[in-house]
Amino acid sequence: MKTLVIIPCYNESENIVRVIENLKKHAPDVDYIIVNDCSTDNTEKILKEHNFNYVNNPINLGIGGGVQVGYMYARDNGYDIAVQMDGDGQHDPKYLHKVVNAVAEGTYDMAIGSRFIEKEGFQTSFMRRLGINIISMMIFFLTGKRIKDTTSGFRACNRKLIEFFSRSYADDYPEPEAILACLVNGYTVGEVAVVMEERQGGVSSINTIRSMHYMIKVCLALIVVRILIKRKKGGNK
Amino acid sequence: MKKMVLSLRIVLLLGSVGLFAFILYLIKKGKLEIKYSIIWMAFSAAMLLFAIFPYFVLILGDIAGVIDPVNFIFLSQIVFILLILLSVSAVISGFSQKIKKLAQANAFLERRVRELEESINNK
Repeated sequence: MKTLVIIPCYNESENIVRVIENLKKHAPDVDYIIVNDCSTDNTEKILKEHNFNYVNNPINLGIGGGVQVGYMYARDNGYDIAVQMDGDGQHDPKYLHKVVNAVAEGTYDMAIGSRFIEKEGFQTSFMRRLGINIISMMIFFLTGKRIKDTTSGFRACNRKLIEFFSRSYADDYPEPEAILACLVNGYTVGEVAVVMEERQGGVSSINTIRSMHYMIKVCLALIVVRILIKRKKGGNK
Repeated sequence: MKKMVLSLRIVLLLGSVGLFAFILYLIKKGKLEIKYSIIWMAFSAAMLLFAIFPYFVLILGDIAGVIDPVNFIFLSQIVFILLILLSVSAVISGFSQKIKKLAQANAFLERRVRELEESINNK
């Protein structure tokens, strides 16, 4: 199976080289594409110097629009499986095959690397966990499917979803919305246990001031998406 | 309900004719697209109608339960303004989707150009 790792990257000059070297070491059989979302630091120079495979967004599109570029690349280059992995080193490529295999074997259409199944490694702050739990409850309430790590950006999906995401993918903070969009459109979503690390350098894209706005936006988006999209027939395992 | 006073009708008439003329001027200068001018024209046409035929205001005002006809004029103006604001938000949302698509297409083009340049330089 032709597999592509999509690495969204915004001002990750401190991390990106290590992330890619790690990926090449642990998963030499997969291709990758870095989506440089108009970084303001010297990320682009580093990407060029190391001769990495990357695209440059001319304007900052946010995680959603940036990741969608990766899905379009996967669609246009005939990949069977696309895996999203953050550019900050939180996601360990050691677990890449575990997430990919869940999709390759046809268990799920989308497999999410979850840090809350075996509760090992970096479990993030209490407030962040609270937010993730609220979103998790909302998704359970709206679809009847329990997803624990709703904001995890470590996820693999198959060809059907690559094409689906190339057509429509949420903007701004798209992770929970993508789960809901998959579920209401009849795709199967499941979680695979992974261990995540604390980010090793740089600054997270979500700060305290934005988190309230984030929660309101996500909750609203989930409800609106659920109301507007009619559930399609299909198994939600 | 009170009658609509003549001075109010005159103000409304002048205002709506002036607005209509300004809309036409902007279209002529190419500063307003016809598709975005439709709701503004409907606005000024409604105000013109109210000025010439106060009967509409009195009937509709009675239905809405307002005491003074001028209140119904305010109410209808607020409704128009809200509709215009909403349509502006919708237009902006459309633009932001188009900008996103352009930026994504541009990102792929930039990559192609970069690879072409590299392959030429390596020859």
